[in-house]
Amino acid sequence: MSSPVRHTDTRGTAPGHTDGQGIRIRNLNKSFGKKHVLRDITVDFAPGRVHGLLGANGVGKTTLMSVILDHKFRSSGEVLIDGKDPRENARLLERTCFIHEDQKFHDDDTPSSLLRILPTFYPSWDAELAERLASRFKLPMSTRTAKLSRGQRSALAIVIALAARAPYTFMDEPYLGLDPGHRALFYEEFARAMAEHPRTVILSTHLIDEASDLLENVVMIEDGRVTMDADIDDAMDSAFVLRGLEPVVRDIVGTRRVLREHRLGNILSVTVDGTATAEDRRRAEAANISVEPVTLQELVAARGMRGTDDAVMSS
Amino acid sequence: MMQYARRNLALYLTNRLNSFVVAPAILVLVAILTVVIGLIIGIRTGLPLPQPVQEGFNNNLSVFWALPGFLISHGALTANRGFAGALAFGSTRRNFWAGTAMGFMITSLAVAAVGLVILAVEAATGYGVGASFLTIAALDHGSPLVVAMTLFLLSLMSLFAGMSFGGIYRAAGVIWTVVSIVAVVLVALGLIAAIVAWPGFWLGLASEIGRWTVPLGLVVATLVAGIASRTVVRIAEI
Repeated sequence: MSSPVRHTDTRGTAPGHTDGQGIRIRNLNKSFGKKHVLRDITVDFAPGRVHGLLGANGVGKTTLMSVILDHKFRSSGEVLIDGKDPRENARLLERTCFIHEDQKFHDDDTPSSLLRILPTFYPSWDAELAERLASRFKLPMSTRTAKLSRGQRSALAIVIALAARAPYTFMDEPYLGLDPGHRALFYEEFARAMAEHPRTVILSTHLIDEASDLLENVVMIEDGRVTMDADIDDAMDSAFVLRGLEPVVRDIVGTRRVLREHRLGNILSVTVDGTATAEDRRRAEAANISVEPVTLQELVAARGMRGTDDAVMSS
Repeated sequence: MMQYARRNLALYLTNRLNSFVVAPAILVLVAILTVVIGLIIGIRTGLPLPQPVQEGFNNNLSVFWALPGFLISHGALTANRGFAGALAFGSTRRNFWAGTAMGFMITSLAVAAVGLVILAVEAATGYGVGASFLTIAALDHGSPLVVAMTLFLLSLMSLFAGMSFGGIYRAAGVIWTVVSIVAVVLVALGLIAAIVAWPGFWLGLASEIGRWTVPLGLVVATLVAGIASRTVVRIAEI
């Protein structure tokens, strides 16, 4: 088990939605019968930031988001949003938006009918943005939601999540089924929406490298536990990659902890825990060994998905 | 509190077809079907229908079988899918139930209003054949108040029952939904068996209560269904 990189965020005064206190979770557990899905989760989601919720399939990302908003009941532990328990708290929950990856709508709902009704739920609903996004994603407005394709349902979820301008926005694999062009569109619009109206976003994703530019903080979940909670810069600085001939690479690594290694012929690529020192760089350069910053994808694969390696390599 | 419930009312009313049109249309269709049956009988007996046949129509209970099917499924779908949407949009379970219950009342009022129109046509014309759809013994021979209350309560009870089943599905899954449906059917069959077994007792009770027998029975059933729906929605997950 890798040691988690704990980061106390002191930048809670980031521009935008900073009037809230963020989300505080303590010793949160969730079980379905005998299956423990969330195990003693303790984590904070600072306000006004974009948090990436990362991890392999089935580790509990969606369940964590559902439990935070009381869509699923917690088994034990504490969840506070802006210092208050969200359970049946109408004033608090109206500041949230969470379109699930497999969101069910009424069979007769259409994108048009939903976008017409949503301003009643969200006082700060941006109708102009909703219209623009629906148009850019080519959303069929009069098609019943049950008939929408996977990509169209994702587009609808993106339209709602961004136009709602909810201070706490949860996005669960928001680009499933979207082609690369529409994914790029999502990243563009997401960045624009966050710049114009910052808010606290918790975004679960598989396309880690693609989304990494959007994220400010990463929380990694493995087997129902938080294994990393860090500012993205700190996270990226928490490891480095050495690549070159195996004996030389092993010599430079020394006794330091190797998070992950990959061999291609004589070339060994290792992800090393910690920061590369000046001495490391000097020795590596002399021996023609490359010292590279770790990508978020590599870091997640190294720290959070060891043994599974099923993160989608998007780079 | 009301503003949050009203959002869910608006969400419910988004589906105008199911909220306003289908149930009243079913009522109209069954009224037409009643007339068609009267006409078919009339081919043999002559029109207008002879007095004994017209009296037979007094026991026509088709109104009680026609509405619940659709309304139960509509209530179930509302609880199953509408509930998921409401929570996604930041609603509480309590406000979802309250707003949807208001919507159910509006649907039920629409059914009752259309029923009164049908009743007026029936009372004025007998559809030209002497067939009865709402002018029946169980509805105090077409008392507008009893008809309106019965249609309203029958609709509301059905919607709440559907919401209960949909909520049980969300809270406990398929097996418990089936178990709950079987339990309700068994209770209904038990009641029918009790009526068949002791007709004297029930007829005596009905004659004591008089014209309000059916509405009062529906009040009890609606209260039970309403409480059940609220309870299961409060424990349902998405």
